Amino acid sequence: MLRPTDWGTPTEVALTDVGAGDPVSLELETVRRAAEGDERARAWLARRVVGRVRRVARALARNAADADDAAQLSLIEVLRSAHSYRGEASLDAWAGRIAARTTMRHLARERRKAEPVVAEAPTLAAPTAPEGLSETLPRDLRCYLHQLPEPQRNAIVLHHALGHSLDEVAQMAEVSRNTIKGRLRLGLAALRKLVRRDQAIGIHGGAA
Amino acid sequence: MSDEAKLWTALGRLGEDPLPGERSDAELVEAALAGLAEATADDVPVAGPIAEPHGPRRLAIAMGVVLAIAAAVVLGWWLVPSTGLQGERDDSHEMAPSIADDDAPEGQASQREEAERAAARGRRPQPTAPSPELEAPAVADTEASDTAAELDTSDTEPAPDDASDTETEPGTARPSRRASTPRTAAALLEHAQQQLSAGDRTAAIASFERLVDRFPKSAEAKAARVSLGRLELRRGRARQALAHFDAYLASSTGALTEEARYGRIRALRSLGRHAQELASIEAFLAEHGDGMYAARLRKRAEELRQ
Repeated sequence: MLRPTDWGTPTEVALTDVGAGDPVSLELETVRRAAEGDERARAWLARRVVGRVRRVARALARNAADADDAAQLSLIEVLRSAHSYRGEASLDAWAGRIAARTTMRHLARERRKAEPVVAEAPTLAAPTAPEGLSETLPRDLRCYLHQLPEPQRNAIVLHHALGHSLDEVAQMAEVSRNTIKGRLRLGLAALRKLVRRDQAIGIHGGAA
Repeated sequence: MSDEAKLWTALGRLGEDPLPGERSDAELVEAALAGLAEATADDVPVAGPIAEPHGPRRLAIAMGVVLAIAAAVVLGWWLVPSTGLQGERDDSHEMAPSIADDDAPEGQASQREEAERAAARGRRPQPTAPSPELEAPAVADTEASDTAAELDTSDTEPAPDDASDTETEPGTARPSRRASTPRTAAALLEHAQQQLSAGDRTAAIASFERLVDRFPKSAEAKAARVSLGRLELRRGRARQALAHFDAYLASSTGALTEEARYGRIRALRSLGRHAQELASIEAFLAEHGDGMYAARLRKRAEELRQ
């Protein structure tokens, strides 16, 4: 097993015999080597996409433990799917799509297994904003999102937070584009209503 | 910053900040590489194919089901001598739609989609796929549900000066001595919320109490009970908080019922009435088992039972 200090840059890792090239070609070549089982190339690929993968996992998961598990599974899937990367999209976008699918599948599987075991709830009674600062929502956005039905929540996170197109979200959710639009519409309306409810009872980004 | 801007800012930043207690990137990468090595060594698939995870599999299953049923129909035709070729054709035609219906998640999704559309039409037209730049402020987004009517009074209320359209209590809504004093229940509620937002809790409590005093039967006063309960709890006055939450819950059930019940439980906890607290938690979970406080309260209930 390689240690983090052994990872190196893509050029050091995989391209010593390829010669100079543009960054996209270098990445593509490194990913190809990762797909072939080159250990250093795999380590480089994992490190290269870990930021994007973690963001997806954090955005979709309810808590840190779920996000860690989902991110780890997503990284493994990225490495296993390296052979499918053709360089048509950026490495981040490609890894992000894989991470989104893997995370949603993992969370759905865990939820089925865990019901009705209590899941760790996000902090609700203690808003995260500092006292008196009203530049944030009354509660952490995650608290509101996890009160929405899962299809609506996933649609909002994938489209509005992670920037996937409507068609991509529809493909990931295996429903039509119009269904996704409907979920976004209803989900955002519900989200606004929850925020207004907190404001109506005096929770204002750190107050009360 | 407007509420809408806050919402979109939070959405844009979602997932960027590390969560408390999560592993470092290096640990995660190391664990993933180890997991991949183990999976490769054991030749155990870690998960299903990623690129197109469900489509081909479902198609294969659907085709298998269709073929199996077609085979059954043909077999039935052979086993029943009186059935002719026309009968087989009729059977096939009758079966095809039912198979498609049973094994078509897209069809089910369409039904759900229709239901969602119907629900959306029942409320009001919303912009599709809104962007932060184009989004209307949340305050303009009113809901027509009965529960929202209680909560969202601030959404539809007129300006404080426009008292003609707002709820007033006959005989109680006298002209104020000061021009700046809100004269309607809605305006008082908004005023109190603004004070609270500005961090002036003492003034907010006074405004909420004035609202309850002047417009006791209004929906705004009812909502103010929950705010007062929360503020009193924060000041450590659990008994007063409990009275406010009880007053809200006694009036009727409303959109803040879950919040009021949760507040009541917190007040009981502060007062040390553990038996009542446990009973309230159990009642809460029976009503709001999927609510946002449910997980926390289940843990608390277990603590109380031990």
